[in-house]
Amino acid sequence: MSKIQEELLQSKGRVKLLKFLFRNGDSHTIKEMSQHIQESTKTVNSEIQKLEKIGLVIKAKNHSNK
Amino acid sequence: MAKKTKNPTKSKKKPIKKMVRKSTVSKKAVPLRKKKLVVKKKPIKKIKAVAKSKSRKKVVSRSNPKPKKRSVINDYAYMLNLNFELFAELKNFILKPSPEELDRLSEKMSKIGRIKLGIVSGIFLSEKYQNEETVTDLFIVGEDIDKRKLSAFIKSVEAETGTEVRYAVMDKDEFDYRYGMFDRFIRVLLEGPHKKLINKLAL
Repeated sequence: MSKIQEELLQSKGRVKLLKFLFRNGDSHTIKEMSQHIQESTKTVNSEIQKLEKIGLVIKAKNHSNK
Repeated sequence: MAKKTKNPTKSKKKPIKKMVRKSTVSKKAVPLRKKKLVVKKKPIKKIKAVAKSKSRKKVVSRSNPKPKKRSVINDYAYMLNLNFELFAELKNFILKPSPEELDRLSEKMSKIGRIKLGIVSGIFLSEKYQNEETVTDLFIVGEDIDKRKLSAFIKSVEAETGTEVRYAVMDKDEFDYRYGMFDRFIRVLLEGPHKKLINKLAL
């Protein structure tokens, strides 16, 4: 991942999360995401909340299987 | 009298313009300047009065007990909103492969053993090759490869790329054998779109 994206988005975790989301189409829980991108659930959670606020991320209607 | 009391309360509640502290502005400007998005100009005169009153207010509010953080992690599943207005632009921006990324990758790769050949393909290539079929994303030929370091390496690569990485590792003898007998896997890999990060075999 490039430095330019990290600087512009202000966080490495955010870039990782967005990469993960764009590369994997389905819905994922916060736990799953944090495992995949090796960031804490806390980080992922706060990033997801921000992304949800601007409308880039939405809650999936059906829960993914646990 | 009434007018006099009205003014300060108003300014306390909501400043007319959104003010950002000077320190934050200068801090954010540095990385942007590096990327040449922001150009340095002659220094502007300081905004004295407003900045001062602002900073004083900040101290007062900090002494108050902080609101408790909400760190409740819910069980909802989230997905991208495909109707987001900047969806395509953002996707392009985020998934743009960069030479820097590959440099970092080869640096990491060289730490897991004596690497003779390191090839990337598939997801590591740029958009125009994404649709072409590739047999693997990461191909490593090397000696003395530490298994634990290898799995840690793959994990970190997967975390950074955000997806599963198909990979194959073999030693030099096996590679020579397969290369010599026109093994399909090697042939497809070397004939298809790929990039050699490490090449000590003079291929």
